[in-house]
Amino acid sequence: MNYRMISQVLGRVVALEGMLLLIPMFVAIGYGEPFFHFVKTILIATVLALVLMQPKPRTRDFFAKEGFVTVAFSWIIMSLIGALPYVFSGEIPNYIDALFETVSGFTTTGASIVPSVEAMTHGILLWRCLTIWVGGMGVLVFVMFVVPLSEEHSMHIMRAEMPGPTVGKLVPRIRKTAMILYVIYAALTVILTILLRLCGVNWFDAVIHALSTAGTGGFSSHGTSVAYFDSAAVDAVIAVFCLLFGVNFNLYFFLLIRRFRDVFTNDELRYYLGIVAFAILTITLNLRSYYGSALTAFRYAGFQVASIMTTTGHVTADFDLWPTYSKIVLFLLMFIGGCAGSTSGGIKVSRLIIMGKTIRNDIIHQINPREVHTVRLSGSVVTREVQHTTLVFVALYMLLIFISTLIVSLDNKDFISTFTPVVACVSNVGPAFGIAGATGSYASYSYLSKLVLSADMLMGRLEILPILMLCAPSLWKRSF
Amino acid sequence: MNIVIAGAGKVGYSLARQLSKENHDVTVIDCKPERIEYVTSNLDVFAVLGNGASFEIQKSAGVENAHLLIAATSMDEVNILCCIVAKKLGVPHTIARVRNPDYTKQVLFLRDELGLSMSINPEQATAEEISRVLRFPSATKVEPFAKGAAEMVELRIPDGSPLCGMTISDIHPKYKAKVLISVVERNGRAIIPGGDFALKAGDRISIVGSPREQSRFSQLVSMKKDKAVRNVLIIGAGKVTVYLARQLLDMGMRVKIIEQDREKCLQIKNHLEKATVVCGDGTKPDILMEEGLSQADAVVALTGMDESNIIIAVYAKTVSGGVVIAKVNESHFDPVLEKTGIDVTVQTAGVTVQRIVHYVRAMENTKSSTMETLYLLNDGKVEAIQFKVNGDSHLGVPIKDLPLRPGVQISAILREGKCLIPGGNDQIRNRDDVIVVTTLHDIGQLSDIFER
Repeated sequence: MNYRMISQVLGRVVALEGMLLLIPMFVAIGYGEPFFHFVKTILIATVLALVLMQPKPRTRDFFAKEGFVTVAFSWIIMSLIGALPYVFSGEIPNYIDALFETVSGFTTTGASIVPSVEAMTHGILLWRCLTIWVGGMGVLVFVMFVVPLSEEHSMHIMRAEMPGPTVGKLVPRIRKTAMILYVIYAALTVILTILLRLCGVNWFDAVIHALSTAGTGGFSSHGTSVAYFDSAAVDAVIAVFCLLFGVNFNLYFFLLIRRFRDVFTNDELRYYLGIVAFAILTITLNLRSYYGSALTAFRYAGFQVASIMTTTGHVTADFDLWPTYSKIVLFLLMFIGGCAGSTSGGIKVSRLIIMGKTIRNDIIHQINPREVHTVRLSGSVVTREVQHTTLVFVALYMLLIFISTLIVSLDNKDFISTFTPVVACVSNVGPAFGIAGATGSYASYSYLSKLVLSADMLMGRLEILPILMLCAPSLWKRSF
Repeated sequence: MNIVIAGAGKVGYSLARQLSKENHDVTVIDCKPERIEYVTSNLDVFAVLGNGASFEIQKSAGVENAHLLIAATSMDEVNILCCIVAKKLGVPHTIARVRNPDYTKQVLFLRDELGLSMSINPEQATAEEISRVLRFPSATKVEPFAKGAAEMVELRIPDGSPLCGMTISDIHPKYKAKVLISVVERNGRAIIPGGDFALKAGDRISIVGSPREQSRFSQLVSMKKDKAVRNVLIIGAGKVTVYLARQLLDMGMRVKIIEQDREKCLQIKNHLEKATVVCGDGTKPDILMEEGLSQADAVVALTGMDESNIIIAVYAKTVSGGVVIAKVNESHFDPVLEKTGIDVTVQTAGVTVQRIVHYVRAMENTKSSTMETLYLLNDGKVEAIQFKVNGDSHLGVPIKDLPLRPGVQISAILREGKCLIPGGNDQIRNRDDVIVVTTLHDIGQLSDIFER
C-alpha cells in the first residue's frame, strides 16, 4: 500500500474543502453573521492539508486497492472536518450530531437532526447545501478536475467514486471528463436557480434549493421543506429537475455533441421514465379520494415520486398519512434510486435491469439447459463478470440494511421507525416513515444509531465496497 | 492531437502510454475485452471494444475528429484496412504496421491510394537500429530522414581526432566523403558553421549524409582504438537477420550467420549470396568458438528466444572484445539486462514505438503543408526541416548564388530517392525534397530561408 501517495491525495482533498469553506464564510460576512467558526475550520483544514502533503511519495505506484482506500478515507476525513463549523458555531453543539448532518450532506442523503432549520444562520445553511452539491458529483472527481492527480491511475479513483455498475469516460482524458461532468452539473444548477427565482422564490432560498436538488440531497432552508413555498410552479420546477438530476450525466453530453441515437436507445433511461410514470399514475389514482381532486393528487404524487425515486427527499406533503399502497410504492422507489452516473443514490435502475435479465435467463436456462443466452443493456452485451458483481452488490445492499436494522432496533422504536430510516439512509433518500418521516427528524435516535446510519449513508453513496474493504484484514497486510 | 490506436498489444499499449504522456488525447481500439480492461485501468485514455477495421467501431471511437490513426494490430491486412477506412472518414494522417515484405513493397507502391503517411516494418526497423549501432559505435545519436535515405549523425570529437583543427572546407578535399557538417555545438552554443570554421576537440558535431557515405566517413576519421566493425557474427536467421545482413553486406562488412534449421539456412543463403551461412546450434559454446566468436568485431544474438539471446550475449561478452547486441521481446527485465554487461539490447516493439513517437513529434511540429518533417536537434536549439519543393521561387539557381539568411544551411537534397549533399553549383529542382538545418525558429516554408 502506497500510504504516502494516498496521503498526498487526501491532503489535496482537505485543501479543497478548506477552499470550499470560504464560500459560506463570505456569505456569513455578507449577512453580518458571526463567521469565526468558518475561519477556525479553514485554519484546521489548512494545517491538516499541509501535514498530509508533507511526506513526499517514494513511488507513484497506485493500484485499484489504493484507489478504493483513497476514496473511502477522503469521504471520511471530509465529513470529520465538515462537521466542525456546526460545532464551533454552536448551532449543532454535539459533534456526533454534527457529523451525522455532514455525512448526510456529502452523501446527498438529506437526513437531518436539526429541530428548527429556520433558526440556523445563512452561512451554515449554505454550507449544509454546498456539501450536498459537492458530494453529488463526487469529491475526488472535483479534485481531479482542479488539480490533476497522477494521470495514469486516476481511473481507479473515478471508478471507486462514481455510482453505477460500469464507469465509462466521455473523452480520452479523465480530467476533461471530470470537467465536462462538472460543467453540465453546474449549468443545470444555475438554470434551476434562475427558474426558482422566476417562480418568486428569493435568491437565497433559490440557491439553497438548487444546490440541494442538484445533488439530489434534499436539505431545505425551511422546516416544512418545499411545502413552505406552497406553489405549484415551484413544485413542478423542482420535481422536473429532480428527475433530470437522476439521469445519467453522460446522456447530456451525448445530447450536446448531437449523438441523439445514444440517448433514445438508452435502456436505463426508458426503464427509469417508465417506473416514474407507473408510480405517479397509480399513486395519483390511489390518492384521488384522499385529496378530493385528481389534479391535486397528481401534483403531490408527481412531486413525491420524483423526489423519492431520485433519492432527493424534498417534501411537499406528509406522505406518512397517505394510503398504504402509496406509501409502499414510495418505499420501494427508495430501493431503486435513479440512473447510474447521476447524483442519485439507491441500487440504480441499470442494476435492476441487469438483475432482472440475469434472473430471467437463469430461469430459461433451467428449462432448457442447452440454450445460450446473453444479457444486453442498450444493445451492448453485459459480461458475466458484471452480472456477477451486480448480483453481489444487490445482495450486499440487502445484507447491509438487515444488519444495520438489527443495531438500530436497540433504540426500541416501533418497527416502521426502525426499518425504514435504515433504507432511507443506505439509499441516500433522507426522509423515511414514522419518527424520521416527512415531518419528523432523526434527532431522537441514539448516538450508536446515528453512527451506524452515518456509516450506512457513506456505504450507500460509495456503493458499499470502498468502505467495506477498509474492514478487510487482507487489505492492510503486506503483500507477502 | 486526437490520436486513435487500433490494437492494444505490446506496441499499441506502449504507444498509448507514451503519447498520452505527451499530452495527446488517445483512443484505443481492441477486440479483446481483457486488453481493454487493462488499458482503461492503467492509462488515462479512452478505450473502445471492437474490430478496429470496422467503420462502425471507428466512428464510435471518434475517428472523424482524429488527427492521426495508428494501426498496430497483429495482422497486416487488418492494419491496411484500418487505414483505408480511417482515410475515408477523413483522418489526415495514418500509420500502419506492415511486417510482411510482400506487402511492404506494395504499401510503398500504393502509398497514395491507401493514404498512408507512414508504414513501419518492425523487423526492418530493428535491423536498421542494430546496423546503426554497428556503423557508429561512437555516435551519440542518429536521426533518419526521408525513410532512411539520409541521416544525421551526432558525435563528439575526441581528443587527438584527425578532425581537430580542420576547417569545414578542408574536409571534403581530404576525405572525398559526401557528407556535410551541419551543426557544431561548442560551449552549449549551436552554430551553423561556414567554410572557414575550424573544429576543436570536444565539439559536438552533427553530420548529414546518406547511410553509406556516413559509415565511410566515420571509418575514415575514426581513431585506431575504436576500430570500425568489419566482421559480424549473427546467431539466428529470422526476419530481422535477413534485413540486417543485407544492410551490413551493402556497407561492405563481412557477415556470418549461424542457424540451426537447415531449411532456414538455405532460404537465407538464397536471399543473401555474399553472407556465410553455417548450419549449427548457436547456443553451443564450442560451435560459436569454432565459427570465430573470438575474432568477431560484433556479435548479434537474434534467435527467437529471449533466454537464448541473453545467454549467448553474456557468453560472447566474456570471450570476444567486440560489440555485443541481443534482441529481446520483453522489456520488463531491462534493469537486470543492464547489469549483464551486454552492450546493447534491442526490442522490436520498443523500436517500433520509438519510430512512431518520433514521427508523431515531427508531425506535431510541422507548421505548413509543404513541410514534411521537423526534428529538433541539440536540445531544441537547432531545427532540421524537410521540405517538399513545389513550384517555389529560386529554382534552378546554383546554391552559392542563393540569398540564404544567416543561420540557415541547405544540408541535403533528396532526388528520386537518393541523397545528394549539395555543393555550391548544385541547384534545387521542382519535386525535390530539401533538408534545411537552421538555428532560426521562424522557418515555416521553404521561401522563409531566403533573404527578403
